[in-house]
Amino acid sequence: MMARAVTLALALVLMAAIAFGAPYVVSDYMVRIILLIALNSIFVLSLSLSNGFTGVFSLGHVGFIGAGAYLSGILTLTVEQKHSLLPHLPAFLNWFSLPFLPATLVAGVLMTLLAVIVGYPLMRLSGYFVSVATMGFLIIVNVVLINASDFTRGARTFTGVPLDTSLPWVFGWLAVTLLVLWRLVYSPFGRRMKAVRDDTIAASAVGIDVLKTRLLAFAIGAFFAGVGGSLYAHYLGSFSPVTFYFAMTMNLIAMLVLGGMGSLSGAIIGVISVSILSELLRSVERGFTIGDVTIPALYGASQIVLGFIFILIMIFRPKGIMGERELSLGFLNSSAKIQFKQGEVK
Amino acid sequence: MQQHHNADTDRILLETSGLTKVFRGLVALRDHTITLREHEILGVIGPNGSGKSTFFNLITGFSKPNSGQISFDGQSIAGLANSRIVELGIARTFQGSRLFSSLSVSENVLVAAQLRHPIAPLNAILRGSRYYSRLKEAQDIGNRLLEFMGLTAQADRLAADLPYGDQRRLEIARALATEPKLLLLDEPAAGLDSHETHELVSLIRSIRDKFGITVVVVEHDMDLIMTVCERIQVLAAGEVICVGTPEEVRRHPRVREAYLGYE
Repeated sequence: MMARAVTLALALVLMAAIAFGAPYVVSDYMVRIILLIALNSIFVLSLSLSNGFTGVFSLGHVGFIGAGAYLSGILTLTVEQKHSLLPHLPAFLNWFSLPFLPATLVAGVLMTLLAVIVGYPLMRLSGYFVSVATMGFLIIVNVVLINASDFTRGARTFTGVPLDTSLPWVFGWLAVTLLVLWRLVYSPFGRRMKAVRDDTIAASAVGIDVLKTRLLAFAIGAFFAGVGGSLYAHYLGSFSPVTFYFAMTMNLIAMLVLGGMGSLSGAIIGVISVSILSELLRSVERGFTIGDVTIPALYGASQIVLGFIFILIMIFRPKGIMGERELSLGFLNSSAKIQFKQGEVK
Repeated sequence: MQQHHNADTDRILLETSGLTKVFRGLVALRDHTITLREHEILGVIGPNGSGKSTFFNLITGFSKPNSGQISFDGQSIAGLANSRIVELGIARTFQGSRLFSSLSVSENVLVAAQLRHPIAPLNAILRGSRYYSRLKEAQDIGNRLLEFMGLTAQADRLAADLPYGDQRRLEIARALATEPKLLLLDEPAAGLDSHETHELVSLIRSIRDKFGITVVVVEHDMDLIMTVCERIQVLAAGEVICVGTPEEVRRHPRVREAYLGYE
C-alpha cells in the first residue's frame, strides 16, 4: 500500500511537470496529443469505476460525456452568442453566461443526478443486460441532442464554445479524478465494489447493498464523465451529436480493456498506448522514404494494424496490459509486504 | 476460559409459523414451523428437494414466502431485503463455495466486517480520523477471525487459490465477520474428508461456545448432524416430519422410512 501511495504521489508530480513544462519543450502538435491523452485518461478512469471495478459493463458512458459537453457549452456561451446561435433557448438560460470552472462543475453534478435517475432501474441488471440497457441510454441521449435543437442546434454543429481548455486545466482535473478514484478503489468502499463484481449473491449475504454500491460507482463515474465532457467541449470549440456516439464509446472501451479493467494505472497505460500507437501508425500510413526505398501511402492501414495489435494483446494478455495490478515501484513493494504481514493496512 | 452455553435459556431467537413457498405450482416448503432458542445448535436434515435450502433462503431473504411468519429476535423479517436481514444478525454460508475470488483471504473477511464498521464513500475520499479508526476496528475483527480459523498464514493469498477445505473455513469466517446472532451453515461438510469433518464438529461447537452464536446446520452427513446438534428437524417433500433430540429422531418411524431407511 505504501508503494502505491508513493507511485501515486510521483504520478501527480510528473503530471504537474508535464502540464506546466510541456508547452516550452515540445511542439504544438505534441501538446495537443498530450492534452488528448490526459482528457481520455479522465474518460477511461471514470469508466473503469463501473466497468472495471464494480462489474457493471456500461456502454452508456459517452452519453454522460456528450450531455455534459453540451450542457457546459450552453452555459459558457456569451449572451450575444446565445441570442444569435440559439435564438429559441428558454428564457431561464439565455440571460447569463457562466465561467469555465462553474460550468464544468454544474456539468459534473447534473450528470451525477442523471446517472442516479438512469441507474436506479438499470443497476438492477447484470452481465450483458446492463450493457445493452446502458447502450439504450446512449442512443436516447444522442436522439435528444439531435432533436432538442432549441438547446443544441440539432445535428448542425454546436459552435462558439470558448477554447478555455488548456494543459493545466486538463491535468488538474486528471489529478483530481485520479486522487478521488484511487482513494475510493483502495478503501473499504472499493472492496465492496469488487465483492459485488465477484459475486452479487455472496455480497448481499454479507450485508452489502448491491444496488446502492453499483449506483454509487455509476454516479461517481458519471460526475467525471460530465467534467471531462465539459473539458472536451472547451477544447473542441465546436462539435455535433455524432462526436459523442459509438465511435467514441468503442475507443474508450478498447483503451480500458487493453490497459486492464481492474487497474487505475492500467486505464492510463491503455490510453497512452492506444493514442501513441494510432498517432505513429497514422504518420506511417502517409508513406515515407528510407534511402532508396519509398513506402507509398496506404490509407486505412493504421486501423488494420491497430486492430491486429488489439487482437494480439487480447490473446496473450486477456486481462489487459496491467490486469488487476497497479504500476508500482518494485523496491517499495517488498517493504509493503512486510508491513502487511504485521497486520496493518494503511 | 471457556464458557459453556446450553440451550437452557428460554429466550426465543427465531420462530417460523405456517411458512410456505411455492415455485410454479410446486410446493417447496409447506407450513413450516420451528422455534429456535438462543445458543441452540439445530440440525435440519432431509433428502434432496425436501425444502432445506428453501428454508434457508426464506429466512435470509433470498426468496420471499408465499405465506407464513418469520420472527427473529422479536421482529418480523418475512420479506425484508437480504442485506437488511444480515444487518439484523443472520449470517449464512452457501452450498459449495461463494468466495470473492479476486479478493485476498483477509479482504474477504474485511469486506464482511465493514458491515458493523461502515465507511461512507465520502469519508474514503476525505480520509478523516474516523476513516482510520473504523478501518482498524474491521481489521481487528478480521485478524481475530483468521486466527480463530487458522488462516492467518494465508491472509495475503487470493481466496480462489486456497485448498477447498480452507475455502470452506474462510466462508464461515466471512459469515462470522458480520457479527451475527444466528449462523446458518448450508452443507458445511460437503466435500470434506473425515478428518476435516471431525474438525468441523469442534469448530461448530466453539462458534457457539466462544461467540455465543446460535447455529443451524443443513446437512446430508448424518454423523455430523447426530454428533453436533442438540435438536434435529427432519423435512421430506417440503413438510416437517418431526423435531426432537438425535435419539428421538433416530427412533421416529417416519424418519426411518423417509430418510434413514436408505442407509
